[in-house]
Amino acid sequence: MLIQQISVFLPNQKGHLAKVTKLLQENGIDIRAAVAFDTSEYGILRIIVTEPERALAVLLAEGFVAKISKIVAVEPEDRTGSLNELFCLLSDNDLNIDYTYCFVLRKKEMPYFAVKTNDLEKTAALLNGNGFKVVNLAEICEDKNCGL
Amino acid sequence: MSECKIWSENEILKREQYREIQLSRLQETVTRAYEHVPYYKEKLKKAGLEPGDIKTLEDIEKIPFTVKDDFRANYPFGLFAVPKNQVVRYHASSGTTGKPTVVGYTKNDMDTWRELIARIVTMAGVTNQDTAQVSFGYGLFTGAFGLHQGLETVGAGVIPMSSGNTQKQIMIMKDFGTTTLISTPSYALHMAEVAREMGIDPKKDLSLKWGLFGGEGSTEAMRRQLNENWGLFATENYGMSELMGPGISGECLALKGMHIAEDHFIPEIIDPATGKILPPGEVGELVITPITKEALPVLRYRTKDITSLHYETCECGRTSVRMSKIQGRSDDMLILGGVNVFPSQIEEILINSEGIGPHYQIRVYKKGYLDKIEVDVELIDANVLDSFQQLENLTNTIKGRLRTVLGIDAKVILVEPRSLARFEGKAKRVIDLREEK
Repeated sequence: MLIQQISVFLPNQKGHLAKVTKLLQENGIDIRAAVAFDTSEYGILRIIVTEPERALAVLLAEGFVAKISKIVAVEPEDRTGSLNELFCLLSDNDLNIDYTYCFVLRKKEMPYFAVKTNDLEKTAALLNGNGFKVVNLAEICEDKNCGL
Repeated sequence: MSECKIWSENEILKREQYREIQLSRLQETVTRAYEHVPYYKEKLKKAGLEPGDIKTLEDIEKIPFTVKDDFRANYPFGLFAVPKNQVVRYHASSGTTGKPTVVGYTKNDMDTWRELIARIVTMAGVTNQDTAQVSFGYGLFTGAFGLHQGLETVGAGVIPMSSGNTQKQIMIMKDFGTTTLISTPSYALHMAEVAREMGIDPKKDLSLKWGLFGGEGSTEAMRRQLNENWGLFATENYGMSELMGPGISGECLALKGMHIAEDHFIPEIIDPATGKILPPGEVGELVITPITKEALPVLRYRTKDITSLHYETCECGRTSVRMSKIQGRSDDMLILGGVNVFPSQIEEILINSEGIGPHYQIRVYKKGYLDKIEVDVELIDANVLDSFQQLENLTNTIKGRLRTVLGIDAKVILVEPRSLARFEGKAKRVIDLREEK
């Protein structure tokens, strides 16, 4: 149920993000979700892609500093307070969130929430058992080849 | 340590004896320079100094320094103290810019040189049982001829191989039973590679015992590689043509620094920025005054090499002062907020830091009146990408270690692997923006 996400080191230079996206395009890898966090000197790009293992190999071969890390993706319900329930549940069960971001897929009505915590297996099981819909990479990739 | 033979009794004199010899020979040298080299006469006069003013060894401090430019200004023979008919040998340094530096030797100078090399090869393990292959280039460069003559003096069998033609080097080494290799450390590492390509295991198929390396700086990591690749015992020796060539100092088998021939050279360590003499043990620029040279007396030559001096008696029994491995060049020294810093110190910290590569680029600039420093390093460990906290921990660790040598906080900037400039020759890793405008 855990999703392989790729983290890429990005120095704050013009055109650097485009280098990553161009490389992935050339290799026929589809980016399903992307978010970049930055400080004044550098950033970390986090992407969910089709065929994550191959995408990582392609990036490393080009000299990027990149790694696969895992996250849990959930599809919250469309009502007031559903995010609050999600975060309270994690907090009440002693799970600490390293970072979180949301991403949208066109064919879905609701955005997904990606969560990285200190114990991902526990997080996934907990959310699953409490009525949250935890999604896998195949669902995020929809009709595309997810490489799994 | 196996037993370390000592060639000359002059290597084990008492401190007072050294001081006595040094004072009388310094006085002779200053007099010779003053009387026979017009350039020095003028220089000493300008400093308000006459040979008679050198009354104690400490008076050396009053003598102005000699630098490489003094040689250039007097090209080719302006600094010689003897007429040409007394010169029996010429050498010259490779001038990378402009004219080379020319040096000359009288018959007595040649005897001194042989004697000093005999000391160095003896302390590095070589005896008359050894067969020594000299793989320095023969020619104007002092290295090959210098070692060659002294090796003959101790009775070793010398193979004047010169550098290059590496496959033939290996063949001769095997067929002649070479036990001692004389070369630069980098050429020796290259030769080991070529030997293996030829199907020869230098450790098993050859009989190397001793390696005497010089002509360029080296690191302890290189020494380990030399020992492992060749199955020999590597020592380093030091010299420069302006002062004589090789023979100024060399390591004994105890590997506790390079013993300086103190009856022939007076070493000092100065602060490269102020020229002030530093106490024993402190790191600074090596200044050397040869005190027995006839053809070419040189007073207080600034070597630009950064090292320190240690006067305690060595495990090998020698009492002569030891200089530590050369840490860098004073040309490269940075002064940051009053603290002297050498890029080699920064390099050592970075090389020993995990998660980053060995390449770096330093920028120094001023903000208001304060010196600021930025260090670019290449991030190689992707494992820190899980959180900014980890990235920050990495830069903070490096920053903290750098603070111990820099005295100020550096800004550590992580960049991508292979994005910093690579240098094949002399690396230019420091950009000082303070002097511009």
